[in-house]
Amino acid sequence: MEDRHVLAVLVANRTGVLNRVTGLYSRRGFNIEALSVGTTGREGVSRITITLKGDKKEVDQITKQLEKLVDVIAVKELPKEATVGREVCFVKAAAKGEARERLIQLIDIFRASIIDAASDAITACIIGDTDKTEAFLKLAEPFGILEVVRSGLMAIERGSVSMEEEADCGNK
Amino acid sequence: MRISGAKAVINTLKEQGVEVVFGYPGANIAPLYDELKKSGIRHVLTRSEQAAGHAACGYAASGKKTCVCFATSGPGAVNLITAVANASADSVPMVIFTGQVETGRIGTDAFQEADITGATMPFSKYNFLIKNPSDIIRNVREAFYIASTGRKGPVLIDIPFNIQTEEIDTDDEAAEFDLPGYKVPGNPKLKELNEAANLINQASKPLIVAGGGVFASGAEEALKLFMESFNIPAVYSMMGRGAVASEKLNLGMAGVYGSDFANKAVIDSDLLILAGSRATERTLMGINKKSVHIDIDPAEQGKNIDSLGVTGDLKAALNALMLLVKRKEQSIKKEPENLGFHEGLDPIYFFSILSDNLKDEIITADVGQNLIWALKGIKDSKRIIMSGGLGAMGFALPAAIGAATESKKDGVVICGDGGFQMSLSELATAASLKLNLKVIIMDNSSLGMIRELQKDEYNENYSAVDLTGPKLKYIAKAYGASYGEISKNEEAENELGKMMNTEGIYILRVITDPDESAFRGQHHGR
Ligand SMILES: Cc1ncc(C[n+]2csc(CCOP(=O)(O)OP(=O)(O)O)c2C)c(N)n1
Repeated sequence: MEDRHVLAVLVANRTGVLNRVTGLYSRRGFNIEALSVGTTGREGVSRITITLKGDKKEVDQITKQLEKLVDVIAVKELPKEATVGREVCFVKAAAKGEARERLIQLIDIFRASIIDAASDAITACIIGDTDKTEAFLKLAEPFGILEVVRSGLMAIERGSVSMEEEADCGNK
Repeated sequence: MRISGAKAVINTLKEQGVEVVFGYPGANIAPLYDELKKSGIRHVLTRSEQAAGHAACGYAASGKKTCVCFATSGPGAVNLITAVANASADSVPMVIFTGQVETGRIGTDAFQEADITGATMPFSKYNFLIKNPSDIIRNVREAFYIASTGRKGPVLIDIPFNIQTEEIDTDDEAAEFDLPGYKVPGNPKLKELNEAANLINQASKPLIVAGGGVFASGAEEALKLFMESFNIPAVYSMMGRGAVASEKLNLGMAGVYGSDFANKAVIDSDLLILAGSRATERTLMGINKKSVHIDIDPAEQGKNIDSLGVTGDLKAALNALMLLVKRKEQSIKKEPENLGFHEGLDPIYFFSILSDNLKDEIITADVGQNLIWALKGIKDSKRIIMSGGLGAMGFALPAAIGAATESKKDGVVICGDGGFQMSLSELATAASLKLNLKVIIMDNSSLGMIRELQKDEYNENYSAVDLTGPKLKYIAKAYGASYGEISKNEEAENELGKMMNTEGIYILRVITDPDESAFRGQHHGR
């Protein structure tokens, strides 16, 4: 079954590490949906969140190939039920005449915010999980979407579990 | 003490026990060569960087050491790429040093600049571009550690010219390894071993598939003991040839080039025990059955075949399983492959006579029909060093040079006229080193393997496979080698006897029919 999976990857902050990770995806033909990268609470350690589609076997293989990379410290598939995820999405849509009012309403309903407004367009910022973002995009479509920018999902496990602690890497 | 970056590299090579470097110089690696000359470490100058890399592979394969090669920036580094990919495919422990343009010029498309770390990223185990002289000693030590532990492989170090010349202070103790993500699998876990033993004990017809990992782990003896104690037979992959030391339980080579008997044994078995084998499509041809997969690289487990994984060193795993497995009562009948030699020159017959004449020479083979014939004709206790995973033509001759450098033994090189011409310039390297190499050229005036493919699958539309070569007799003369030629089975005995007893380089041209098949009715493996 092709499902959406979220992998959290802790990497040593070295030149080329992102190349190594993404190179693996193209080389092995893995189907990557989104990727976000940033520093962590530990010195010299970054975290990559990868959203991908595949069956269990593929995800196992991806995990092992990632773990095999010298600069990868830890890889974890985040359990769906115990993970919170958010992505930031900017949507610029045409907003003229009476459509403008309805678009503003839609943005309100989704608790999104307006980060830019011009006479003929509005840019909304929506923060949520992937489902929420996609629901918004679907409803905004009839207005005429001009541009979409998505950060890629960031995800973290609920409760006190800490991947950084588990991997015991870098200095806090 | 203050020393140059180049001297720091060479000092660290000495500390790592490096005795030989294979390479080719150039301006951007000149400081390293300057220090190498002063160090007393031996350097073998091949006639191209690719050959240096293949020679290094032969060196590593014939001994237990990590091999080292040098090349200059740009064209030199890029010429090495085939050999790096080969070392990666066959898990050869290799450390490669390439010169690079000065740090300030990197990224400007400077003269002889090539992004070699970028280029080799997909097929090296790891690589470094050193931008800070104070990292040199640590990075070189890390490179040797990574190349030679876990699943072995090539590690490349790219050193810009100015980093080689800048001075560093050796009094600053080189910092500890900084490899937070590098994990070397330890001994196999008891839980995995117990589960594996259960599967083996439940099976009625278990079969071992031995791969190149047996050599990498030095597990030949442990495997023999395991097989003979429990009466479990084995087939081997091409890379595992020579790794199965138990003669009566060795059922031969499996796979597209293997014997029907070995392939039938795979099909008839009810459990495969993959021992340091990747279980590729070439060996198992897509067969998926219950298996135990012992490998140091967990990413191989479950990749090509579903399996119960045992992760860790093969020798340690086999030794541990000795306490857990029970003996099988099964009678194993070996059937020798009936090859039915034909008149004229039958290459397999030729190799069977060669086999009878072998003592402890190191054998290297190239790619193509010549390799398949050699695999069928030479007894399967003999290891053949080859380019297994990559299948790179031109490998055999330089690899033999490296192997002879390490082992001091005589070498037997097996190649086709195509592969020979890719590396023919290495005869000069062999001659200058005064090696005893017996170079057997299976001359069918064509790229035989591809010709056979075109014959069987492209309606005999022979496209770009006819090959003219130089008169080998004159080539022999030019390189100061002895020369012999045969075109009939009857001549093999005599000519091979002569070859084996001649010192120096001996070129033996074996004239074969371009229509001679490597498969004899079997399917093509590409
Ligand atoms: C570097 C490289 N180029 C191309 C090939 C594809 N290839 C595989 S076998 C073969 C023919 C080899 O011819 P030859 O060396 O004469 O050996 P033969 O098959 O005739 O014994 C070729 C071209 C390869 N394996 N390696």
